[in-house]
Amino acid sequence: MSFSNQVPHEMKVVYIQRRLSDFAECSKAIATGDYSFLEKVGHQVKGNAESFGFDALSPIGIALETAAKEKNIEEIKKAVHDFGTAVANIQKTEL
Amino acid sequence: MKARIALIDDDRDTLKLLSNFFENLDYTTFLYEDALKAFEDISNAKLNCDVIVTDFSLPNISGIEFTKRMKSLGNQIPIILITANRKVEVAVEAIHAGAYDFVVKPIHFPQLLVSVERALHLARVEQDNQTLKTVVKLQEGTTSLEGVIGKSPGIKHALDLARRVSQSSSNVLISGESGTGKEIIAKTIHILGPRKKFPFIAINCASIPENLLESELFGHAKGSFTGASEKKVGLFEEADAGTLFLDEIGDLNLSLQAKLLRVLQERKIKRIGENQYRPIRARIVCATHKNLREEVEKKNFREDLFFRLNVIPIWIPPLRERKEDIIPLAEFFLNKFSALNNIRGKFFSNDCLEALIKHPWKGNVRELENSIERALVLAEKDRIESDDVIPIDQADTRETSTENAFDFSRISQSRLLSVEELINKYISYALEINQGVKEKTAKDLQIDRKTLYRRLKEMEH
Ligand SMILES: Nc1ncnc2c1ncn2[C@@H]1O[C@H](COP(=O)(O)OP(=O)(O)O)[C@@H](O)[C@H]1O
Ligand SMILES: [Mg+2]
Repeated sequence: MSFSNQVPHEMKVVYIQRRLSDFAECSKAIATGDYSFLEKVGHQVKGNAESFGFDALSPIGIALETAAKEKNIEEIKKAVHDFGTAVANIQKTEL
Repeated sequence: MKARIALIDDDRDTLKLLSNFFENLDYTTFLYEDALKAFEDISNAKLNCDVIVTDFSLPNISGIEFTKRMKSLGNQIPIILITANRKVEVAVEAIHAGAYDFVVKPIHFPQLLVSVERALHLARVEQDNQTLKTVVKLQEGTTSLEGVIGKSPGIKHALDLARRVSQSSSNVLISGESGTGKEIIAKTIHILGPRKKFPFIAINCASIPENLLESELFGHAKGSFTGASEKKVGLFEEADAGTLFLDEIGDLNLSLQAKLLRVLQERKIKRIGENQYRPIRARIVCATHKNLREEVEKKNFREDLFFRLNVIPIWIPPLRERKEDIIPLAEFFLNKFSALNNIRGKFFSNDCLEALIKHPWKGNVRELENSIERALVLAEKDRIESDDVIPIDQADTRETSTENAFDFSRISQSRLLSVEELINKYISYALEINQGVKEKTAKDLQIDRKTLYRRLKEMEH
């Protein structure tokens, strides 16, 4: 049994709320071309999503980090879009 | 005594998660987003903790750099690194920087917990080693030693051997189930002999990754492999003219077995990456919970090494086979923990004493010790009752266990068992003795495995 099943519910809720605000900030960062912010968000999600039990977010974090490093704006947009969809989906169905 | 953990991670979410996890398990946590700050607090003695868990990649100084700085201060607090990188080199680098262990992301909490508990245990064992010196005193004219309790023939024999071999340098192999007191006997050998002025160093061969154990034991030259940024003196040398206690020797892999054999034959070692031989003076004492003779038969353990280690075998019987030691041990632990916790006047009820004797103590003396410590702290009245010591859920298994114990006097005389029933009972008993290992059970009973499996299946119905 992994602890991620036992991560307290309110911690999961807060985590997802913070990812939603990350998502909002990411959209702004795309507009201003702030690649380092996008890379940081991708990197963090890659590193911590699974520990909270949100395995589905981790590949998106990887995609975002890679795209931001390469400054590949199309891929960034796609990853941020996927990110927003996935987070909203978790909030609706899992929490 | 709550253990104190410093947690370092620049990711605030992970930090919260870690802290929540450990606080729920009753640890006290201290959170740092910056390793440099943690380093400052520890080196200024502002923070006092028992174990440190740190992320690998951090903004100011990395987890590795942090570990190196801590070690260069001579700081002994065990450090566990969390890394997102699964490469072996990273692990090697971590351990060689002086980290106690490393854990790969995503964080698998049970694994992290095991690592933390092991680190804490290690720290405690090292402390015990210092305190033990004052506890173990030879009482003139008897074979009993203060601090090692027991009046059963089994433990007396072990102590007597320990006392006699303490004056020599022969290799000693201590065997017995986990928690029976192998390590305490090894320390006794050390303390009673002329080596007591030198270090007693214990290493558990089962708890260190194989590739790192070799450099732990033998040491290495600077730059002998990736991550070997400093030279390292191995434990054979560090033990000096003291004792090197190799615990769980049965878990040593074959290649290290060959190397250990050479060390024992030649009494000299080469650090990894060096050509020069250095003599060693340490006495080697080994322990295992396995049956090494059987491991030899199964070709898991070298026969030549076995004979060399087994010059003086000391066997410590499980606690359930020396029930006369239970009460003296229980009283000893009661006094010890009463003193440690400033508790007065607690004693065991008669029922409780009886229950202590009946309990199977699968974890042996260690389990007894832990149970008494807990009971002492939790019991509300002065009189400690049996369910303070043995929780109800375990008491059930105790019933079935004594039921299983092969004792004809316990068989109801009004209804004698049929021979079939008796066979089944005996099989269950043998299986319990062999801790559920079917192969060994079949062998002991001299029946083939298929017969055993068939019987067990039938018994399920
Ligand atoms: N005969 C004994 N007298 C007092 N304490 C003992 C005795 N045997 C074991 N202990 C205690 O029980 C615990 C487990 O013993 P240890 O030597 O670590 O067992 P092992 O190495 O066989 O797993 C230790 O805390 C030890 O001090
Ligand atoms: Mg041990």
